[in-house]
Amino acid sequence: MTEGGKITVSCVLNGAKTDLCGEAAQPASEALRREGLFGVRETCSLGVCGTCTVLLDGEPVSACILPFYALEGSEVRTVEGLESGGRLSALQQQFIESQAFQCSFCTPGFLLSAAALLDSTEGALTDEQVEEGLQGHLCRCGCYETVKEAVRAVAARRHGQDAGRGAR
Amino acid sequence: MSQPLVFFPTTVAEAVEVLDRYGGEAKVVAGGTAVSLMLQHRLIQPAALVSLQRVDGLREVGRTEEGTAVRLGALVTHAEAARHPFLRSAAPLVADAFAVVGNPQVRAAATVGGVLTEADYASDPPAALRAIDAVVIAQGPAGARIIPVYDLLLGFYETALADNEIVSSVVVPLLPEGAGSAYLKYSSRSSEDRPCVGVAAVVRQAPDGSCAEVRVVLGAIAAVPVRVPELEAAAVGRPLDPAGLGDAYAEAVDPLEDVRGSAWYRREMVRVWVARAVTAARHRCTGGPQPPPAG
Repeated sequence: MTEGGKITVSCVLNGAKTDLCGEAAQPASEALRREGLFGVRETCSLGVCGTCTVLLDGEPVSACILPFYALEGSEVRTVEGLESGGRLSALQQQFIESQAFQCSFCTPGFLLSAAALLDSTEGALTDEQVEEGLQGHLCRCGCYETVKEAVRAVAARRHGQDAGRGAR
Repeated sequence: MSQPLVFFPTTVAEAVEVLDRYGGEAKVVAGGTAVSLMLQHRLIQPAALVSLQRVDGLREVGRTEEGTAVRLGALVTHAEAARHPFLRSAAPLVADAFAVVGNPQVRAAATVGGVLTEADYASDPPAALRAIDAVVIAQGPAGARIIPVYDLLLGFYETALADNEIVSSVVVPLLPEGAGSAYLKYSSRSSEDRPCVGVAAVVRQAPDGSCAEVRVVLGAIAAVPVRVPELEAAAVGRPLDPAGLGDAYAEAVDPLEDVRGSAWYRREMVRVWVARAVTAARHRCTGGPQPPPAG
């Protein structure tokens, strides 16, 4: 139970053990933004648009309709946690190369669901697989085609590497 | 706005005790997708929230002891239900329905118990669970009781649960031998929207190819899922006629209207989607009649 509606939860946030303090009725998106993680963007507040997506134990969830205290004991990743040592991930780099965004407001969400999709699959991906994995994201600039291209390019590259390893 | 107190019971009994103490002023939180939304939009202002996230034993999926049903723990997520191999083979229409709710982010959080107790009229799983005669196990201070989904859903956001009762699991009977089933969702606005019309169908054919059993349940067209026993009875013993059933249901129902479609439009969509769901269910019948020999 909690005092006066204030709750402290412990989670692993972008690889670092973190204690977050928040109010009971607050969604996870607000608590994460208060930590300076502005890649968590709240737009529809209905769990529809996908801009507030975070990875909770590796699975994409909408932080705007996730109770703040549901983060307790879990591993949370935001777009800020995709790069390592100041280097963008291969997926992020490919988004730039494929010009998979225009205004970029929706990009963090797309990146996280795409990262989860790549983590949960092997080899090359079809358009349909990417569309299914990214179904919960809206892009009002209409960059869907280049997003798909970027994700498929990363998947194809790892597929090539796997095939190369297999041949040796 | 005063913030609700949050409780994290570790057993169902503890959770029930808190609910009992707050007498209707507390809300149960499972995946949190529905409650968070209602809190954010100030539709509810509970004094307490009872999170089930630390309660053990509510996340299992498995065959019941008698082997005649699948038991889904109340905290099983939509995504887990949709991809569970046993549920997919034992009750395909139920897996179908969980697979088309919202978007992947919602399905990763929203739970089997939550969607039933939220009792939103425009949800996919209730129609499928009603068609297969699923029941929920509700736990209260006096112990457990079994409530058929039909009796659980009373109206818009209204269930037969007492203020101090919690759904601990949902029990889904296996489909009858040889039966086929399907759940089809029609969305009138966008792919992640709630349904304009949802149709759950179960079909069983007799050896002579006639209809041995048909069940049709319509979701999102009324406060609770709609089933028309007279039409089901009338179809038995005759050749299965998906288009005829579509027409019959379109005439029989009295659809509501909302942002997803007018009453007239919903009636026409019932016509189309009943026929499609019955056809899809028939395609999945196993061990049914063979097609007549050619010539």
